[in-house]
Amino acid sequence: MPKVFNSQLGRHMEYPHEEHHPDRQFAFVFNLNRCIGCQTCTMACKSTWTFSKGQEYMWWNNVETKPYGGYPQHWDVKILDLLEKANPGGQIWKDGVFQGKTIFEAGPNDVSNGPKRVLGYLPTDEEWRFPNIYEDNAVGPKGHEAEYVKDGVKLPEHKTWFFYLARICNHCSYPACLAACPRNAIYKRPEDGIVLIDQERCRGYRKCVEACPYKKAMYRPTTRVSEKCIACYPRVEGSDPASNGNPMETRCMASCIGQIRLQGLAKINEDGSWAEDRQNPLYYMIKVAKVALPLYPQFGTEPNGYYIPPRWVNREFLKQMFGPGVEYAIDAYKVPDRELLAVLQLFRKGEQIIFKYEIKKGPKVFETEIHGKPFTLYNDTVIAYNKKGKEIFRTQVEEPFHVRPNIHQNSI
Amino acid sequence: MPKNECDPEDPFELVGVELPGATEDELRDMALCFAEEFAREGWNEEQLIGMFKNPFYQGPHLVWKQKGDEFIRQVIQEAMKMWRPQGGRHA
Repeated sequence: MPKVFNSQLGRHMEYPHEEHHPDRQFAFVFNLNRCIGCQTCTMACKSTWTFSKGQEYMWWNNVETKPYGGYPQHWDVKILDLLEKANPGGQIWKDGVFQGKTIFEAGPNDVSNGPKRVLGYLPTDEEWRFPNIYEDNAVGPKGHEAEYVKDGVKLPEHKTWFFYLARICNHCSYPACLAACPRNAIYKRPEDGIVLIDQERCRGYRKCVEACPYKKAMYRPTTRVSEKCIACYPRVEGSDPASNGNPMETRCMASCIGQIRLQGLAKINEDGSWAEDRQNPLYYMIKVAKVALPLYPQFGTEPNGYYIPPRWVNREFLKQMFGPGVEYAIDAYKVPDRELLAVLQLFRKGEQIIFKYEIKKGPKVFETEIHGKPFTLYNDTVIAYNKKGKEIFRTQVEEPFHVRPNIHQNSI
Repeated sequence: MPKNECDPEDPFELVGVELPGATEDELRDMALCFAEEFAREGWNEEQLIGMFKNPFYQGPHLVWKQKGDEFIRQVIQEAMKMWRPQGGRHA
């Protein structure tokens, strides 16, 4: 099996195909400290791409409540368990390098249910059926969970830490769905790294559904082929009529009212590493400030979705979920430096993809100490530019604060 | 890692289970995080107290229900001292 370099693992790993990398890579940062679980992203995606017959249980974008939720149910617990069984006690990091086995390395040795290229499992219909069951939603009594309770029900109270995890396809650098497809029906676009399923070639074997550790490839029974997030590619290309030729962020990103999402296109070197692009906000947050981390990097697919970890959550849980960079990322976010504070203001101020930002220095507002470290707040202005180098918007660190008068509350 | 097989019929699976980390310090850290995030947005002390007392902000509200006014006020004052040392919103 060919060897490829996985920068998130800090080492080479086995992968069924030779290394090839796109010119640019679809990537995103989600700030989990700010997600309120409103599901606006989920519905924006659903109403755009998966509203048809046979797609009822298909949520390309979902938001699940961690630690107890998951779509499909228990997806991460199950794949972590499979990896642990394949390599008991060995799934560890040492000095930033992953010592354990990825799903590609553990797969060929797993002989349960026949030989496979990638370690995985097929979720049951029931696991796909209830995207947020037992989370913050009221459910029916045992045996009638999906039924409406007419005499009212008390919502569960979670007295322990929790957070909302928003997920879409990670458009991985080494996609497990692509590796597992026996028809070579899945491909990664050379121009933007978006991973797509060729609907003509797909025969619905569901090997991609089994292999994707994030469970973001889904089978559609009415067409008997699999489907997945297409990263709203007409918007990303700038070919969508609404875009006026300028690359736009996806529907789920653009609709985020919690302002947790920022998406872009990272420049990629021939060897697969990110080309230096210092004024790109994603490059800055991921490669310079190191405040955003990949989801379950130990799976080995090199996902291109990055998360600013929620700072109140148990650190061991976060380290399992986001790898060894958690402490550093949380420290950087808790006491943001001048540049990070300005870059965080770029989230969701516009719909176009930001290719470059510029900071114009503003006046000092105050000096203080935050979590024991000296901190100075400057009211800097941050300016965002699109692919053509044209200004999209400008905003300040200290945004104007408006409170809607009570008379207008619930006036929709 | 749970050792037993998942049971989709069990409505209590992972719901209401005490997990490591649900300590007094973690609870305070979480409450401080809420207060800090909103203080950074420009909320003042009274607005933050209102949020903790509002049952529709379930996370902060649970902390207020468990720990009461004094605890919440201390947490908010710590957040305000860090993020609004001169008080109020700056132009």
